Amino acid sequence: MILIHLNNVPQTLQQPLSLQALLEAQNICQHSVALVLNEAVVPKHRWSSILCHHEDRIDVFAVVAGG
Amino acid sequence: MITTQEQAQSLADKDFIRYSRQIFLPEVGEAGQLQLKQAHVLIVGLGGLGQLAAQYLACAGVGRLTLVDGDRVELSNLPRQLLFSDDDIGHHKTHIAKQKLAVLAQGCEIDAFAEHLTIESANAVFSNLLAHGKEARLVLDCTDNLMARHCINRLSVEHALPLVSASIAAFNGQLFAVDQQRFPLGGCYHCIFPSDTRAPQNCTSQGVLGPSVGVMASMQALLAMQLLLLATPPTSATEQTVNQSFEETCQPIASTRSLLGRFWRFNAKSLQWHSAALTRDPDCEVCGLKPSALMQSTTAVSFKSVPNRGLL
Repeated sequence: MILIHLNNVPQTLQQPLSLQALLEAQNICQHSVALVLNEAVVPKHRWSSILCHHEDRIDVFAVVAGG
Repeated sequence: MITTQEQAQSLADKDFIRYSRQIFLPEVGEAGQLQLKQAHVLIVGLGGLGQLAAQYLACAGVGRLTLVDGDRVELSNLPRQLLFSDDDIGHHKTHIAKQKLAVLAQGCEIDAFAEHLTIESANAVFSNLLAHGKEARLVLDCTDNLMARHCINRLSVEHALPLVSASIAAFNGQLFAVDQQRFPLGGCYHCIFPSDTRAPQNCTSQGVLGPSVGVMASMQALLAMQLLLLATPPTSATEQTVNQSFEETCQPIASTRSLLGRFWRFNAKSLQWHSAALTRDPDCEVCGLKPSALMQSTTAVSFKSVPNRGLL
């Protein structure tokens, strides 16, 4: 079992999920968010190839374009 | 340390007094103030972010600003766009800003483009930015939509210009700085928000409180000033050596490494900041391509020159 922190909320995963699978499982639309894994932005191209690890801190947030 | 360039130029007495609170900082000094005077900043968007960043930079002694915005002042702008007043409603923001900044900061040369940045108008805007000799140049993205943000990012990458981008909607602010020459590993706007990204928020539909816009604009201007103060003249090795020893002696506030390639988020409800390292996407269609491929790309806008990006 893997414990992660998604937007500061602890979550347990039964099996290692890719970042992309994690977002899909959470019903988060991938077209409007960016993702920070352990304080580093992960480009969207790599979401499908990176697996969540125990104690990962993942922040998902929407793009803000206003000014 | 005093360079040849600094020996040749010094501030007028009145400017020394005007900018004394900046010059007193060892990280700025007279040399830093002269660097600001020799800088040219392009500000795209004169809404809540751009109108305040423009005031800070002009009044801090930045020598030249190019302002770009096609909008006219509206009544609903006034609670947060404090450069404008009721009498300005209906007038082009760039024209009003140029007039008012000329009074606030007489030493600042201002070029105004009263049009939205489009592929067509961008050539003239960026030619203007590149036309004035050996200035330190920097781009501020203060726009309010993703299309403009992608356009500015692409142009900044193509012309190897540092970009400081801020945004705010509702209670969420975002800020980052990228520079393909000084820190290519930080990537670009497209690396974090690719072209298919959809923005759910903007000030028009979501609303915003004036001071939260001001926080983001202030951070953007502060980041821009620090990058200008840390700018290495893009010329001879001798000057670079001198600049290095200047940094070592005066211990600047922050190194470019801690300012470039970072992404900050501000929560205007809890007043909390979060920062993360930006990561270049090797497959990015904007900064990941070689310049020659970029010019041939069907998605690329057409521009004549691609200076050395020191990247590929």
